[in-house]
Amino acid sequence: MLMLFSLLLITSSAFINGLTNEIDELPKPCPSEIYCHGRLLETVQMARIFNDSKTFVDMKLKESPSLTLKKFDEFMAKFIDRVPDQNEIQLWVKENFEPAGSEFEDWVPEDYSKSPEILNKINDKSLRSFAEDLNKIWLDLGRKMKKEVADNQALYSIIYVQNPVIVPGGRFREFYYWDSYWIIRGLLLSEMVNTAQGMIRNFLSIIERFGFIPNGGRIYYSMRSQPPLLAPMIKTYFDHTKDYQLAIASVDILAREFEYWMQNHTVLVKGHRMAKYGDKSSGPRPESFREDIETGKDFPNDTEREAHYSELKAAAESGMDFSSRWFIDKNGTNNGDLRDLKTRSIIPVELNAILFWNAKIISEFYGYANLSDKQEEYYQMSEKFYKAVEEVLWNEEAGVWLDYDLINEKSRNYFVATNLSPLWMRCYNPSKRQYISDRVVNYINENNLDSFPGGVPTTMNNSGEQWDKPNVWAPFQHMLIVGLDNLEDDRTKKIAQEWAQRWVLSNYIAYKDTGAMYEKYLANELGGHGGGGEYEVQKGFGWTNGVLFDLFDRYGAVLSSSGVNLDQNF
Amino acid sequence: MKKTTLSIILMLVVNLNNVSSLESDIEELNLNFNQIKRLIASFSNENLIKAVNFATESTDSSKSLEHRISTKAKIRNGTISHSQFIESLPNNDTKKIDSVAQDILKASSYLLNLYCKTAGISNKDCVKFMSKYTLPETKLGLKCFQMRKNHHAYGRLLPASYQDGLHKIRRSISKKELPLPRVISNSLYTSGLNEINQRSENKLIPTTSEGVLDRKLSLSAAQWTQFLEHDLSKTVVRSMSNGASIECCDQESVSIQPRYLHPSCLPLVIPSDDSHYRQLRVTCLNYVRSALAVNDQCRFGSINQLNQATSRLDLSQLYGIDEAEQEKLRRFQQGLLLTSTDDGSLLPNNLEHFCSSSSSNETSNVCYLSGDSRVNANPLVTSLYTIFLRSHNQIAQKLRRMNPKWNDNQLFNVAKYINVAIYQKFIYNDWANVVLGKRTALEIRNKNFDHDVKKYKSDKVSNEFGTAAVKFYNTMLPGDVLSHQDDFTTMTSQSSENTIEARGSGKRREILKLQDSFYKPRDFSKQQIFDQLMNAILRQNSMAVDNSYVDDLSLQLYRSKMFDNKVFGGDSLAFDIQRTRDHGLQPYISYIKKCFNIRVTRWDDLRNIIKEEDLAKLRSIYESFHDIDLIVGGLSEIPIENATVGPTFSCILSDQLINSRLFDETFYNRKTDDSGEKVMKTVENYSATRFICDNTHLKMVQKNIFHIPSDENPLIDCSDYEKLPKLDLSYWLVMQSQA
Repeated sequence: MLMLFSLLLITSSAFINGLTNEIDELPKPCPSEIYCHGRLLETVQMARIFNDSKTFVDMKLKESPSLTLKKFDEFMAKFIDRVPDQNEIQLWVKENFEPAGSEFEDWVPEDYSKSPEILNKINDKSLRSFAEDLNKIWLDLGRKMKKEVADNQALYSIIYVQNPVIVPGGRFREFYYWDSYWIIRGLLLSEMVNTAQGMIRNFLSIIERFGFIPNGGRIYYSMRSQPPLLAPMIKTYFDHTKDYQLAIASVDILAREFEYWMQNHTVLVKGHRMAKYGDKSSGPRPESFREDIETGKDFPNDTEREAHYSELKAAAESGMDFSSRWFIDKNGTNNGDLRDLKTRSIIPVELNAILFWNAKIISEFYGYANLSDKQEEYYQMSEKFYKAVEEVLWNEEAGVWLDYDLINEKSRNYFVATNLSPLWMRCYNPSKRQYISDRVVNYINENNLDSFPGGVPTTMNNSGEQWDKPNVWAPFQHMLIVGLDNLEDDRTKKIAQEWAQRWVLSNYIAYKDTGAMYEKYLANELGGHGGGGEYEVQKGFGWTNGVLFDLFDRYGAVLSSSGVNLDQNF
Repeated sequence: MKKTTLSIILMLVVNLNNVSSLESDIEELNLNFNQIKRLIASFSNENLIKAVNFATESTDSSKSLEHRISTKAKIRNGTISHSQFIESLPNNDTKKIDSVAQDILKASSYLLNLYCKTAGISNKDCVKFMSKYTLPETKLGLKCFQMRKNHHAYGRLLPASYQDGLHKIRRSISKKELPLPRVISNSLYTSGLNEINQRSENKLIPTTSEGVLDRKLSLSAAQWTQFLEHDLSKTVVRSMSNGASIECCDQESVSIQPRYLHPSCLPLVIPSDDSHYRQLRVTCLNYVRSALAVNDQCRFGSINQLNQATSRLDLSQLYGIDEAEQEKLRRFQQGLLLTSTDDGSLLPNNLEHFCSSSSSNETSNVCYLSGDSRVNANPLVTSLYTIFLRSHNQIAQKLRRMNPKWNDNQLFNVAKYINVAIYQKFIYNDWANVVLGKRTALEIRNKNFDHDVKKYKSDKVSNEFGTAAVKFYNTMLPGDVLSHQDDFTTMTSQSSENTIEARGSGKRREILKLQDSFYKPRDFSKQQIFDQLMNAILRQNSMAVDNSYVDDLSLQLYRSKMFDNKVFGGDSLAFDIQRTRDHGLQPYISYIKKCFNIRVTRWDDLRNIIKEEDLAKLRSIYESFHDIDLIVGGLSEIPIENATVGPTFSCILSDQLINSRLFDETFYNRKTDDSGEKVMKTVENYSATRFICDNTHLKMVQKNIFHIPSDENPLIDCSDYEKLPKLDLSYWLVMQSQA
C-alpha cells in the first residue's frame, strides 16, 4: 500500500494539492525583489535588452530597492493599453541602474611578480614568453570591490568580500567557487601568495556567513554551491607555504562546509551515503531568466516546470552547466536535450571523490590541530566515501568509475571525463594501483581518448551544450593529467605527459593566433576555442591560465612550442 | 636540402604520378628534410584511413546535434532568410556532394591538427603537402570517386586564402579579425551619402535622391548581367544532413544561443550602434556557408565551393542545368517550353516554391518557374527570363511552320540551339562592348583556343567571377523603376549636365519598388505591366557602378515582415563581402598582381585606379591595404574609359568570357559543321533591338539597348525591318524531299 502510494505520488504529483503548495514554499534564489525574482526582473529580462541575461542582474541600483520598485510601478502604470517596448524599458533601466561591473575599483596586486621563478623552469623559449604573458594576465583579472559596496550591499548584487580576487574573466566578473581552485594553483606558482590567501580567507568568511560557498560571488547564486574544492585549495596553499596556522584556523570551517554537503546533498545508495548536486529554490535562474523561461515553456504545468528549473540549477551547481551527462531521457539514455535534465537523480563520480578528498584533508588538518578524535572521525568519513565510490561507482565491466542513475538504478555507461576523476585525488585502494592502471589504459584505448588533436572531449555526445563534445576544458584536462600521473605507471605517465604537451600547445596556438586565452577549447582542433551552450565563449581566463602554470611546473623542462615531443605512433 | 633529393623521396613514398608539378611545388614548400620525412610517415595509408574514419564518425555525431537544434535553427517561411535560401537553393545532388566534401574537409583538418601543428609545420605548407594525397580506399573515397566528375566546382584564379589553410575565413594581416562586412557596407553608404549631397548641389553629375546615376547606361545592362550571372554561377548553401535549411540567427534577429548554432553558420554580426539596424534592435543576419565541391582527384586539402550551374553560356537558367531539369520545363509538344498561358508568352507557375511566401497586397499570386530558383529574384531579371522563353517558343513555332514534319524533339533542340546562339552573340558583342569596352570585347571574341590553351586552362567558372566580379550589377540597380511617357520622346540625359528628375516629380510614376520585389514577382499576365517594365528598363539610367548601393539593396534586400511585425531587409554588399571571405578569395591587391603584375606595397600605389575620395574611405575602413576585400576594391575602381567596370573586374570578367567560349565546343561561332554554319548565318544580322521588338509589344527600341536612348543612340521603329533585320530562319528549311 505504501509502495502504491509513492508510485502515485511520482506519476500524478501534479494532481496532489499538497505537493504544489510545497513547491510554492521553496525560497526564491535570493530575497531580492530586483535581482532574484519579481515583476521588475521578469519585465526587464523578458524584454531582452541585453544580449546576455547576466548583464542586467550585475547592474548597480541608483536608488534603494524599494524606491526603485516604486519607480518601476509608476513607469509601468503609464502603459494602460499596451506594454512598454524594448527601447522604453532599456531607457528606464539606464535611468535607474549603473552599468554592470560598477562595484570594482582599479587594483594592482601588491604581490605581483614580473618574473616568478616558474618561468625558469620552462626550457622552450616561446613557451617561456607565453608564460610571461600569462603572468601579466593576472593583472587584468584582478578585482577589488569599492568600500561603498560593503556599506550599501542592497544596491548591488555582488556579495561583498574583503580581499581582492582573481576572477575567471569575461561575463564572469566575480569570484567563482570551483574555478578558484585552479586559479589559486596558478597564483601560487606566480608567487602571488597573498592574493591566493586573500581569496581563501574570503571563502572562509563566506562559509561563516552563508554556511556554504555559493556558486559565485553574486546573491543570485546564493541558493546553490559548486563542487566543494575549498579544502583542496587550502591544502594546495598549505603544501606551498607550510602555513600550519591557516590550516588549523580553517579546519572547523571546512568541517562546517562538509556537514552542509552531508546534510543537504546526500542520499542512501545501496547502503552508502552518497552525494549529488541539487537545488532547493524556486523559479528560473535570475542570471539566465529568459533562457530558463524559454525551455520551461515546454512543460505542461507549473509543478513540472519548477522541477525543471531545479534540474537546471542543480546542473549549474555541478559546474557542468550544461551537459548530456545530466540527461536521462525516457529510455534511460543520455540522448535527450535540456528538457531531460535529471541532475538530481544522478550520483556523480567526481563529487563523491571530492568529498572523500575533503574528509581526508580535514582529517589531516585536525591532526595538525592535535584533535585526534576529529582526525579519526574524518578519516573514517573519507574511508566511507572511498568505499562508496568503489562499491557503487566503480564498474568492473567498463573498467572505470561511472555515474549512477537513481531513477533506472543502473550505472551510466557513457564517457565523461569525470569518470577518471578518482585518479586525481587517489580515491582508490593503493594496493590495486596496478590493476586500475591496466583497466584505465584499456578504457582510454577503447574510447579513443587519445585520438583527438585538441585534447580529451568532455563527453562523446555532440549535444550543443558546452560541457559536451567537442569542447575541452582546462580543469578536466588537468584532472586527467594529474590523475594519470598519480598512477605511477609508465604507460599512464607517458599518456599524461603527452596530453599535457597537447593541451599546452593547443592553448599556445590559440593564443598566438588570436591573442586570447579561452574558457574552453575544441577537441578536434589544436588551438580552436570552444562553443555551444547558452552564452558566447569567454576570454580571460582564470582556470585555463592556472592549469597552464601547473603544467609548466610539472613538465616545464620537456614541453615544446612546436610539439616535437609529441609521439604520433610512428 | 637539394630539391632533387626531396622529389625522389616524395616520388618513392607518396606515389605521385605527376613529377613536374611536384618539383615546382617543392620549391615553394618551406620544410626541412626531417619535417618532410615526418610528414611522409604521418600521412601513411593507415593514418589517412584513421583521418577519414575520424571525419565520418564526427559527422555521425553531429547528426545528433542537428536533430536537437532542428526546430530552432530552421528557416521560417516569409523571412529574409527564406528569400536568401531560395536564392541559393541546393538540389539533392549538390547536397550529397557537399556532405562528402565536408567529410573530406574534416579528415584534412584532422591531418592538419594532429600531424602538422604538432610538428611546427605551417598550415600553408601542411595543406599543400596533404593536397598531394588522394583519399584512401574507404567508403568516403569511393563516394568521392563516383561523384567527382559529374558536378561543377568553381575554379580559382588564385589559390584559396584561409586562415588555417583549409576553411577558416582569413584575418587581417595584423592577425585581428577583418572589419565586419556590415561595418564596411555602412561606412561606404554613409560617406557615399555625404558625397551625393555635395555633388548634387554642385550639379556636377546626374543624381537622384537615390544616388549617382550613370550618364549612359540603361537598366538593361544590370538586367542582362544578372541574367548572365544566373547562367554561369550558382552558389548554394549547406544544409543539415537530412536536407533541412539552416538559420544562424535567433528569430528576433539577434545572435542565437550558441547551443543552437549550426557548425555551418557564419552569421553577419551587426554592431549594436549600427545607424540603421539599431532602432530595429537587429544584431544578426543569417549567413550559412556555401556548399562545397569535391576536387577532381579526390584529394585532401583546402575547400572549394560548388557551382550549381554550368560553365557554358547555355541558358541553363532557362532550360535547367541537366536533362532531368529540362524535362520538367518542356511541354513535349511542338518543341515548346512550358508556359502558364496558351499564347506561350509567360513563364509557368510553380506554386510558390521559388517565391517568398509572405504575400502582401502589393504583390500578386504568381510565382514563376524556370531553370533556376532565382527566376523571381526581381522583376527585372524575371522579364528577361520571360523574353528568352518567348523567343524560344516563337522560334519553335516558326520552325514548325517551315518544317511541319519535325517532331517535338527536333523542334525543341533547334529552337534551343538558335535561342542560345542569340544570347551568346548579344553577350559577347553588345554586352561585352558596353561592360568591358569594345577593344577588350574584340580581344575576347578573337581569342584562339590553340594559342591560349596553356594560359586559360580552366573549363570552370571562376570563384572570383561568381562571388565578386559579376556582382557589380547590384550597384547599378535603382530603388524605383519609373514609368515613361508613351510617346517615347527622349527626354533625359542628352546633355551630360542634365540632372534627372527625382522620384515623385509627377510625370513619372514608379512601376515597381525594388524593396518590395525580391522573390515577390509581378503578374505579367497583365500585358501592360510587362511592356511598361521593359520600356522603363530600356529608358531609365542605371545607377553608377561604384561602391554605393540604393537603400533597397543595402538595407532592404529580401525585405520581409519579421518577428514582432518589424519590416526590414538585409544588406546586399555585406552578404557579398561575407561570401568572398567564406569562399576564400584572396584580398583585392592579390588580383592586381595577378592581372597586371603590379605589386601594391602602399596605399598610394592604388591612387591610379581608385579615386582619391574612395581611397580615403577604404583607408578609414581597413587597417591595411593588404586587407581590402576583392569586391570592395573592385567596385571602388574608376571604370575603364568607355567601359562599365574597373580594370580588375574587367580582368576577371574577361577571363571568364574567354574560358566559357573556348571550352564550349558547341559555342555558336566555334562549330564548323553544317549546323554551326547555319546557326551563325541565322543570327548574323539579328540585333538585340530586334530581339526586344520581337518579344515585347514595344513599338520603338533604341539601337544599343544597354545605353539609354539619345542622339547617338536613337530609337528605331520596330516596323523598320531594314534597320532591324529579322532572325533569318531560312537556313533551317528542309526540302520536302530531304525530310
